[in-house]
Amino acid sequence: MAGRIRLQVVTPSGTALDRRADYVRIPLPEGSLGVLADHAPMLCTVAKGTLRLRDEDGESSLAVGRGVARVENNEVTLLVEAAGEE
Amino acid sequence: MANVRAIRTHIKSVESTRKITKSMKMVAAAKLKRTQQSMNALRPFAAAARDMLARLGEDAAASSGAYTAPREIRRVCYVLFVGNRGLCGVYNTALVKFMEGRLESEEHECFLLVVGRWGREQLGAAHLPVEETIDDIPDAPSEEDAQRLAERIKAIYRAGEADEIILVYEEYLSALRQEPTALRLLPLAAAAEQGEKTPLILEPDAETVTDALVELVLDSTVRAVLLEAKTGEHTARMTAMTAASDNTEQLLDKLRLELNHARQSAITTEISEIVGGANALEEGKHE
Repeated sequence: MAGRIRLQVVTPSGTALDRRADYVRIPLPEGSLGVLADHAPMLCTVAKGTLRLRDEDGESSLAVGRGVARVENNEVTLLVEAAGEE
Repeated sequence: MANVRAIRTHIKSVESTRKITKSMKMVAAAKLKRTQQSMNALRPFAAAARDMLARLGEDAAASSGAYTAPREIRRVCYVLFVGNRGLCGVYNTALVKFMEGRLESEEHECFLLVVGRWGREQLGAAHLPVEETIDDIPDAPSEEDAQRLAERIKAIYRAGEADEIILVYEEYLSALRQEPTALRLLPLAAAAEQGEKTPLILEPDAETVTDALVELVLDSTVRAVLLEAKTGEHTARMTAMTAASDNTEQLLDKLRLELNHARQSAITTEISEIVGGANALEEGKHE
C-alpha cells in the first residue's frame, strides 16, 4: 500500500516534490520533527536542512531551504525558498 | 526619375522599420515566455501561503506582528507597476489614467512608488506625486529582484512612511485582456477560515510561525504582482509590434505599387520621346 501521508514540497519556482510516504522528518530550527500518519494539526517553521522520508521502497531525502510547513489531515506541505537533490 | 528614387528610399526605410518591429516582437515573445513560466510556477506557492495564513486565522490576529495590526491611516503609498519602456500600446497610459482616477477619490495624503523605467522618463508630465522610482528591475525579474522590491515596500511600511500600501498594476486576465487593478498589500488582512477547527500546534511558537508566514505571503504577493505586470507588458508589446509589422507590410505593398506605376510612366514617357524623335527624323528625310 502506498504511504498514508501526502507530502508536497512547494517552492516559488514550482512544486519540487509531490508524493506519498509513511514517515517524514522535517528539519526545524531546533532539531527535527518526525511525522507519522494521523499527526495532530500543526504549523511550524522549517530550517535549512535535509528532509527525509520513508516509504515501502526505503528512505530518500531532499535538501530544503527555510520556510514553513503545515501538517493536517495526513497532508504535509512544505513552503520553502528552495529545494533540490543534495 | 526623382520620383522613382524617392519611393525607393521610402521603401528602404519602411523595410528597416519592419525589421525593427519584427525583432522587438520576437524579443517580447521570448521574455513573455519566461515571465509567464515563472508566474505560473509561483501560483501554487502563493496560494498555499495564503491558505496557511487563513488557517492560522485568529491566532495571526492575536499575535499581530507589525504587518497585520490595523493602524490609523494618515498616509497611503501607491506602488505603481509600469513598463520598462513604451511601444506597448495603451499598457502604460491606461495605468496612469487609472492611477489618476484613484488619486482623485483618495481622501488621505498619498505618494507614489513607481516601479519601471518608463516611469522615470514619462511620468513627470502626468503630475503624479511620485516620491521614488525603482528603475532597475529587469524585464524578466529574478527571485532576488522581486525580493529587493518586497523589502523596500516592507521597509516603507515598517518605518511608518505609509500606513497603507496599495499595489496598482495591470491584471493579466488573458493574452488579449489586461486591466488596471488595485490590490491592498498592507496592512495584511488575513481572511480567516470559517468553521470549527482543531487547534493548531505552533512550533516553535505562535509569533515566530505567524511572522514567517506573513513574510512569505507578502513576498510572494509582491513577486506574483511583479511577474503578472511584466507578463502583461510583454504581451502588450508583442501585440503592438505585431500590429506595427502588419502595418509596415501594408505600407510596403502600397509603396511597391506606386513604385511600379512611377517606373511604368517613366518608361512610357521615354518610349514616347524616342518614338517622337524617330518620327521627327522620318519626317525630316521625306522632305
